[in-house]
Amino acid sequence: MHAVKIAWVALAVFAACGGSSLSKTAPEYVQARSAVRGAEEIFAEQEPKAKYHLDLARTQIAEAEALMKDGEGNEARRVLERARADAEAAVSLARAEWMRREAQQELDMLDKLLEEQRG
Amino acid sequence: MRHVSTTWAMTGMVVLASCASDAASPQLNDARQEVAAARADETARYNPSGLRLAEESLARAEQAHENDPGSYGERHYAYLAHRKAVQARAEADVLRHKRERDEAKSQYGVVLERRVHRVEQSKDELERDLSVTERELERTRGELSETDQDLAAARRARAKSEKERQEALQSLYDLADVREDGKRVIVTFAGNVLFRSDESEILPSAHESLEKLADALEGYDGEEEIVIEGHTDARGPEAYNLTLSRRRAEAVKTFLVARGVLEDKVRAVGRGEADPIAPNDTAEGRANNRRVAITLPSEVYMSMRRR
Repeated sequence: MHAVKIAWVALAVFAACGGSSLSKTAPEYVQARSAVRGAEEIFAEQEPKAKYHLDLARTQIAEAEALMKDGEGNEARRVLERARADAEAAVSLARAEWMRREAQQELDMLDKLLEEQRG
Repeated sequence: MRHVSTTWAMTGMVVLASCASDAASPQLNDARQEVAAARADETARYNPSGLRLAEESLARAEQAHENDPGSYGERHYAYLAHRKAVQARAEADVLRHKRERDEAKSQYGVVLERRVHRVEQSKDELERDLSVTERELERTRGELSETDQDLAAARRARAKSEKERQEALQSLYDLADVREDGKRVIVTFAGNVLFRSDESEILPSAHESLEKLADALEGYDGEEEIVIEGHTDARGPEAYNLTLSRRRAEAVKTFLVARGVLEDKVRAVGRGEADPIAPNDTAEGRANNRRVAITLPSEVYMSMRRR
């Protein structure tokens, strides 16, 4: 129990050091938002794994905005960094799925052609 | 009011209960696991730079853990390391699937090209066969055309021959006595027109008449016979008259055969004085009895009727 309290205090101290202003023009914010838009544009919502990370990214951006409003710029930066990482992961996961489907389509077409030939 | 990121809760943070030990945070464990998976699969092959970024983040997380196990820093960098490893593996999958797609496309193109080539070869063979067939068809058409021309020429010749035959027959009406007897025609030449008295050599003056008859009968090949009958009057011995009439009939036959009438279609018969057509007690009657009668087949008769 004592250890838990110490952990919370440490966390609070750490978090307290996050106090500074951060505006919506800050690169961290712009980059995080841009990464989320990139994921939305390639329909990451339609791929379950990608959607999971996209939802996390959006949630974290909302949290960062709240922190920014409270003047917790440093913490907001770290949250935005994680949001960006999630959004970029969403983009890559969506791309991987779309490319997998393209490859499968081509393989199916090839199989069909070969089967026609055998027939 | 300070906020604590609720996403930590979503990622299952339990560090508060264990921060007293050196146990890695869940984020760090997750990151280690994900980076290890990236090292094991084809990420290193297809996306080495992405893997390196994930490993760098993991290294920072490990350092933070070493300095202060379970710290915010450890969890933050571990979180980033995990996401970067996920991203690196996904990008490697993109490249791998792209390669699979491109290889499948390329092979599809090769198979299709071979198929097209085979079809073109078949097409070339068919075109060659068609060309040969067309040449043969053209040659056959040429032969048919020649046959048509020959046929037309033969028809024209036949028509001409038929016309000439009819004209010849018609002219007989002027040169001899021509009677239609049912389906036959009997051409009767007076004896003194064809022969001198008691002779069986045809007079030159009779040649024209008999030649017209020969023209009408030339090439006749029907079933019925052309019958030449020689007749005399009743003066003199009967046996003599019979012989004379026979010789005269033979002479006419010989004349006709020499001018194209088929010999096996002509029969010469001597009747002597047996078939008079007039009384023998007058000079006129006797003259009428002295005759050569040629019976023409019905086919010849029919051609005359067509005039």
